[in-house]
Amino acid sequence: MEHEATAHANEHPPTTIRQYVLIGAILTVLTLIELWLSYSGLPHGPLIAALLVFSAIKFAIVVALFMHLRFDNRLFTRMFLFGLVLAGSLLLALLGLFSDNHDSRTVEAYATPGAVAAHEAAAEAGGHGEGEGGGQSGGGEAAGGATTEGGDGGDPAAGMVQGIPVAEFFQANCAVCHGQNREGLVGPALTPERLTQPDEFYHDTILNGRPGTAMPSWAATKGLNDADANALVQFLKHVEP
Amino acid sequence: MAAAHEVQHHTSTGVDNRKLLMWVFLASECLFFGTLISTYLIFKGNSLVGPLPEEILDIPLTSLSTFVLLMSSLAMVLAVYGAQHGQLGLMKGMLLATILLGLTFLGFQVYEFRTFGSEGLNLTTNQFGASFFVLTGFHGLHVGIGVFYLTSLLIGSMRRNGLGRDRDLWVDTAGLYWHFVDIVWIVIFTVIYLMPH
Ligand code: HEC
Repeated sequence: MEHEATAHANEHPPTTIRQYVLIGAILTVLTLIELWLSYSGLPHGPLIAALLVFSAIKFAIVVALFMHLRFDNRLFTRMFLFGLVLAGSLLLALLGLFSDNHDSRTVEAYATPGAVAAHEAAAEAGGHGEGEGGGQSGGGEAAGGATTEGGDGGDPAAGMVQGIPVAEFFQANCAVCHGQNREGLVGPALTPERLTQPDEFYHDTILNGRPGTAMPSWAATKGLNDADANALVQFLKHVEP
Repeated sequence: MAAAHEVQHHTSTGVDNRKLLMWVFLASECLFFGTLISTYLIFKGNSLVGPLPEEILDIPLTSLSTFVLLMSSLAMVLAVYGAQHGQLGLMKGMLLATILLGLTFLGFQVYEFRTFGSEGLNLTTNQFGASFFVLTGFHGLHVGIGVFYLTSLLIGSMRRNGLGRDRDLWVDTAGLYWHFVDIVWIVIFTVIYLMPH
């Protein structure tokens, strides 16, 4: 199948104006079908598959007919397919490597098993001191076990981290990423309204960091211990910025 | 004229190098946008704070701008047709139409970005925002470059000897670029706007 490419370097595609307009109309209809599908309430699996098929068809129509690859030299097709296949493999590889990130926003994904168990035990014991640090802490913290030094039992604003007042420690170490008023910057805002997960979740986030994000492990970088982390959590969850 | 036509275009591949260059470039662009789309898919679910995609994306409005871009592709292909068949009026008119439709698409995008901004989503709000603006922003940049590209052709075609002997090659190659930007949007529209979150 020798293409006589050299003879007529600029052989024109045989498509007529009327056919081009028809193709445009077909593409529009395909887009409308896609739109309809996305509102149709199909279950996610089939919906995604159908949408992918439709957009692949539109893609192919534009490349084959508007970009007239179908009538052009094979070399162009090969060139383009090469890029497309590489891009497709890249997409699959990246999604394969990172897709488990998607359901990682849960307590279980970040907190250690021990912390989760402690949290559940505390919840069952009923009295767990989520509400306002001070008064109730007697009942709940027995199970949570993290609050140590009696000193911070009372005022979450008066906690100490490595001998520095907690607010000062925050400004010196965390504010670059979480904002001076804890409004969020590189990292999310750290305000009482936003921090709705159990204490252990944030406690472990601070000590272990979040692998794959900018949030470092403060046990590793600064040698924070349980009590330090706990002072920070109480501060973040109970003191308005 | 016919003789002149024969002496040019002798390349070892048998195709015009300029057109081959465009195809090679487009192949590399596949990788460029493939990476950005992967990044978006991986990041969008990782946002800790809102606004989230399902809260903020305006599907009806974007369907309209998608239609505008599709029609610009139709206009472009007709401009190429005009160039290839010596219908210069059709070519110029359709080039102008493509440019105007491209600008309309950009207008929609500016409006969308501004709305998102006022609703509290920007490049640094969350991972959805970061990957969304990088992906659609780079696509918009491509549309913008395309508008300049076509405008320069349109201006060239108004000169006394128009676009010269290689007229259909120039317009055809620009068309390849324009259609490519359109197919990238076909994928973006499906993946970002229509797929369930
Ligand atoms: C280099 C930037 C950076 C620094 C410094 C930093 N963080 Fe973070 N932090 C992050 C990022 C980014 C996240 C979000 C991680 C994610 O996407 O899961 C985060 C998440 C958190 C979370 C979890 C919030 C949530 O809603 O799940 C807490 C709590 C936290 N950081 C506390 C701190 C504390 C306390 C400090 C100081 C000791 C600190 N961070 C310092 C970047 C930082």
